Amino acid sequence: MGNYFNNIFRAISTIAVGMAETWKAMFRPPITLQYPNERWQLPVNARGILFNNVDDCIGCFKCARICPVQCIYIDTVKALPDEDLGKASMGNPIRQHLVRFDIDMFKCCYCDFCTTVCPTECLYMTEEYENGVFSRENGIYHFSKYSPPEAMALRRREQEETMTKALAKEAALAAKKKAAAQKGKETAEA
Amino acid sequence: MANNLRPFVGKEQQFLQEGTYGENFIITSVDRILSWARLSSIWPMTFGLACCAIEMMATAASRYDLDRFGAGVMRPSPRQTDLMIVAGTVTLKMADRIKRLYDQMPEPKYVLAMGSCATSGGPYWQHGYHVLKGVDLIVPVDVYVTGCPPRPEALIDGVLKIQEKIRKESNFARKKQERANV
Repeated sequence: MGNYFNNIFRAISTIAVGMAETWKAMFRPPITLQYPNERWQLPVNARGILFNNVDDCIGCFKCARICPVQCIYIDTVKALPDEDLGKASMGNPIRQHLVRFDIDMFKCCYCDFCTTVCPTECLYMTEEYENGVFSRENGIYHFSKYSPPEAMALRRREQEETMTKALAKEAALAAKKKAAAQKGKETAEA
Repeated sequence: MANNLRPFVGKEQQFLQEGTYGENFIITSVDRILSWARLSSIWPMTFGLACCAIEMMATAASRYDLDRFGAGVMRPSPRQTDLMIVAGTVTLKMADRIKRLYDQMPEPKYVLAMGSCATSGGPYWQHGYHVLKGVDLIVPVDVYVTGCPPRPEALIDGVLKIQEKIRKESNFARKKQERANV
């Protein structure tokens, strides 16, 4: 009989303990973040979408090389000797045209390696994180300051340059060979 | 409640042309009111594959509260859902199951690919012999949310984008399209 009343007492007392917790929660202010209107103040080292300030970028490929998933695509074209592209804000001279700087944010794993190695601190993580998109192409961020025709022209210029250089080299080689052959002939004649 | 805490009231009013002919009076088309009903009750499927699922749980919990947008009812069965949130790495073994689950969902259905792995294979896109390189290879994806994992806010943003998509859709045109597909 004592066990019976003890059970009843325990049932009531444990329910009272639980209900006290609920009762307390009733008077707490709600903790829900009203998201589209309110936002967190993100910490300083929060990782969001990558951004590249192309005016400072020297095209050193360090970020593309260290990226563990290789989601940074860079193409550069060397500047001509008489072309002055200025300097980055930290004093590094810019020696190449950055014709392509794409970051595939779909593949990015937000490891923050690329911003650590960047010598001019032009690549950094912003505080933006809402990057829902409707198609896969929109996940690739293009940062180059050249329009596609300009980039194409620069690439063609580089191709032509290498072509002329190779032709000149070939011609020089041929001339050398010819001279050597002539010399050999002369010696043979002599 | 203060107006700034009810962000979509203005949008809904505009969508349903509320107040055009006086207070508490709505003149709208059946199409629009069906869209409105659908977008205010997107039921997602309980479907976590990897670490992104933890963020999805956090989104549904009280701090971020996905239920504010009518999308908090995580159904355990694909037959009762409108939205499939593919949260995490899709292995090739799981890909068949995902396709089957998608086929089991009733027709106005949407897919949200959450995180790097579901959108493009993520860290496994190059050398992952066991990972599907993007869930859009097997099911049509409506909204891609990137991040590794995305913040709960980013997932909410993705759900809001799906709502935008439904808002722009016409139910009857969709029905016609479905009949043509069959």
